[in-house]
Amino acid sequence: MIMVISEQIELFSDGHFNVINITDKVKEFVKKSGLQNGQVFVFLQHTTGSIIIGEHETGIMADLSDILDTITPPEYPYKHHIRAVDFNGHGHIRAALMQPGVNAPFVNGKLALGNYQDFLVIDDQVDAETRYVILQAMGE
Amino acid sequence: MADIDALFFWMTGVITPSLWTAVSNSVCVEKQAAPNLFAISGFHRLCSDFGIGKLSDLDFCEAIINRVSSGSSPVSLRLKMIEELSQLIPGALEPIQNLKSHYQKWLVVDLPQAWYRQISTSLQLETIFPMKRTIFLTESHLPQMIPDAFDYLPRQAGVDMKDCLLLDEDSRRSILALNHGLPAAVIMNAQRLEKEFLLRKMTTQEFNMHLRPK
Repeated sequence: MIMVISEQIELFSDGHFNVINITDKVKEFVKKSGLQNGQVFVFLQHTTGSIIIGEHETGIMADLSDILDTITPPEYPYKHHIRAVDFNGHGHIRAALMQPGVNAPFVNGKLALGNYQDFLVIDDQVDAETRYVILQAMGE
Repeated sequence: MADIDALFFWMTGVITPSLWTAVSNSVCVEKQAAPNLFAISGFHRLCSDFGIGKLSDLDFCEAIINRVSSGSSPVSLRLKMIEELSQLIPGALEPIQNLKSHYQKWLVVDLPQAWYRQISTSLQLETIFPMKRTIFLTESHLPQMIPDAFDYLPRQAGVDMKDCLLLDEDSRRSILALNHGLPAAVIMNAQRLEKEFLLRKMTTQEFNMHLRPK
């Protein structure tokens, strides 16, 4: 029988392209779910960050940061800033360009990630905030 | 890619829990919930100042206590933190022991020497990192941690920056190091440390082609 199990985790972040590796938390969640085969959905509940599956390697993160700075520089007259509520326009655009959630399969109770695949939350908020991620396993 | 001569292991985070984890766990025991330390005004600055010895250990502990409104005393927080930092990250030492012998292995310590002595005794770190290969940033008199430490470490080792590799659990610091010209790798656990060395063919272990990134 297909079952769905969900859990919310909280992350502490100070934003500004903060990369948080949550792979161990996702692995633990899948293990704890008791499900053997299915998919896990990892979803960031915010609009100024993203989740990617990628290699957590310093050079890659530096390159990604450089490229994002080029196409969505933090210092730019974003129209989002006109209402003067917050000044995180680049974070919103980055979140739109990337994605808030990713899926991955698990097989025989284990996440089927490649050797260098990690779940990375990229937080581009401009302040220190608690960030929430929903983990949802669906399977049997 | 230059040949690597010197490896710098940032102790907190790679060998022991990170300073952030140690503070968080130590405060969490009392508050019964992990505080969002990043939300604490100037937390990074506090850690940096503590790490380069600008702030004494008791002043650091007192500042943390004041900011998280903990009823703990600086002395008891210090004790708890040393206890937290005296736990070895599982499997962290094996990849270092398996490194080819010609690499200079340096331990980078952003803690007071008195703390380190207790931690080192408990974890027997001196069997891998003799005192002459231990760099105490707390005794460096650097004006600021970043980017000054990135210049300081190679200088202490007497090695050109490009021939060094910093192994650091702090993703942001490793990016800043790389951007500064100091090759760096973010290490989130012992498995990653082992993979990093295998990939770079720095270990005596045989390279497994399955480990090649695709």
